[in-house]
Amino acid sequence: MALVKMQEITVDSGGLSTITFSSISQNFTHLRLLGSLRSNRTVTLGDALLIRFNGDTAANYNYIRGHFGSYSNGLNVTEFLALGRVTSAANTANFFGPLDIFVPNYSNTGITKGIQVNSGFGDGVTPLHRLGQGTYNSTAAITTMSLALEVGTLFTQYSQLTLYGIR
Amino acid sequence: MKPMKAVVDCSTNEISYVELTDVEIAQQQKDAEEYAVLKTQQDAELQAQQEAKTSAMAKLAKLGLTDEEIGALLQ
Repeated sequence: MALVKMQEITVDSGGLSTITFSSISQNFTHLRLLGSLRSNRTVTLGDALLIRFNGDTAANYNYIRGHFGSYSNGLNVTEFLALGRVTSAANTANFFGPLDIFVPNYSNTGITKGIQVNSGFGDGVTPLHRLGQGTYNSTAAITTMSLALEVGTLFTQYSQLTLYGIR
Repeated sequence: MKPMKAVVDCSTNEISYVELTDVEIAQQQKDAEEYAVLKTQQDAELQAQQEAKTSAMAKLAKLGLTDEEIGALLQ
C-alpha cells in the first residue's frame, strides 16, 4: 500500500468557515483525509464536523455514529455527514481534535460510497471520542470533499488537513 | 466581511481563499437549524428513556429487590 500526499492546508489567524478539496485526482484506489481541527464554538462538547461530497446538498447521506464520553449516540441528518467531532474554543486551550476520514473506492462509479470516520479529543476535561460510518448515496466518482462546522463559524488557526491517495 | 472558505485545488496545487456566497451562507444556517432540531428531538427521547428507567428502578425497589438485583436485571 502506498500513501501519497495530494494536498494539505493549515488555517491561518483569520480562520476558515469551510475547507474544500476540489479536482481530486481519480488515479488512486482510496482516499484518506488526516488532520487536527478546532472550532470557534464555545461549548465544551466541541463541535460537529459536517462532511459533503461533490457539492451535493440534497438528502443523499446516511450515517450512524457512536461515542465514548458524554454525548448521545445515533442521529442521522440526511443532507450531510455529521460524523466528525472537533474541539471548540471552550475546550482546553491549544487542544485540537485528531481526525481520520477513510473513503474507499472513491472513484468507482459502480458503487455507493462508504465513509469511515475516527475523531474526537482527549483534552483531560471533557474527552469525547466519535466513531462513525456513513454513506454518500451516489455512484458518482468523488471529485470534491468539503468540511464545515455544525455551530462554529470558523476552523481556528493551526487547524490542519492533509489529503492522501492510497494505491 | 463574509466568512471565508478555502478551496484546495488538487490538480493545480493552488489554494484559493474566497468569501462564502449568500447561497452558501444560507445553506450553513439551514444545516445548523436542521441539526439542532433533530438533536433536540433526540435529547428529549433519551431524557424520556432515562426517566422511565428511573421510575422502573423505584418500582422494583418497592417490590423488595436489592440494588444488586436491580442492577443485574438492567444489564
